[in-house]
Amino acid sequence: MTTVPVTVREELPVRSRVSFAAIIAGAVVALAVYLLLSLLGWPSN
Amino acid sequence: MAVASLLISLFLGGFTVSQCTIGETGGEAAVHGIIMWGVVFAFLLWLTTTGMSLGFNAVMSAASVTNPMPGASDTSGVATDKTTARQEGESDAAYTQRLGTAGAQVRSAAESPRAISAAWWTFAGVLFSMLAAMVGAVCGSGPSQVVAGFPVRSRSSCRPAAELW
Repeated sequence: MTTVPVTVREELPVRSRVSFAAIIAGAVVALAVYLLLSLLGWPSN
Repeated sequence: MAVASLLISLFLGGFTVSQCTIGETGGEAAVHGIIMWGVVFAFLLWLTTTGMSLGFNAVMSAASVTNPMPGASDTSGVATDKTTARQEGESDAAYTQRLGTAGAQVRSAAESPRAISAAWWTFAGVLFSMLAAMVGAVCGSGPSQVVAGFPVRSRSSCRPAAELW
């Protein structure tokens, strides 16, 4: 019985697994929500 | 309580990050949340350095003590270099003695319990804001939750294939 070495071949190149568009979107949402809460004065002291 | 607003906004931002990415695991979602926290804090830091204080002072509020430190004195309008002190008629011995006194005042202010607790509260604020972003990202990761308690008409066709043809 002969053994065949298993090789991995990438069909599509993976540039980055980090989604920077999603990170920018989350940062914008966070800043917008913080600005909104600050303008509304919530939570009040 | 501006810290609460910052924590809520970072949680929602982390949730949004995970909702905008596809197929991430819990660890990847946490990493995305941390990167988003870094982006937000870098932006707030940039706003602070450019003079627009939006929210960075909320986290750093514990460090910005309103009362002056015990032992600290007002040094505005006092010469802080030897050349200026000579021009103002101050002798070198008096200048050296004044510098030593100022150093002792700064050391005593830094070693006061109030300054130490302020530094720890600042560190806790940074840590909690990072945790809020991470928890939000992890909560938003994975498949969307489906409420199975309500009867919903099935959208899939159950007719046999023979009727379709």
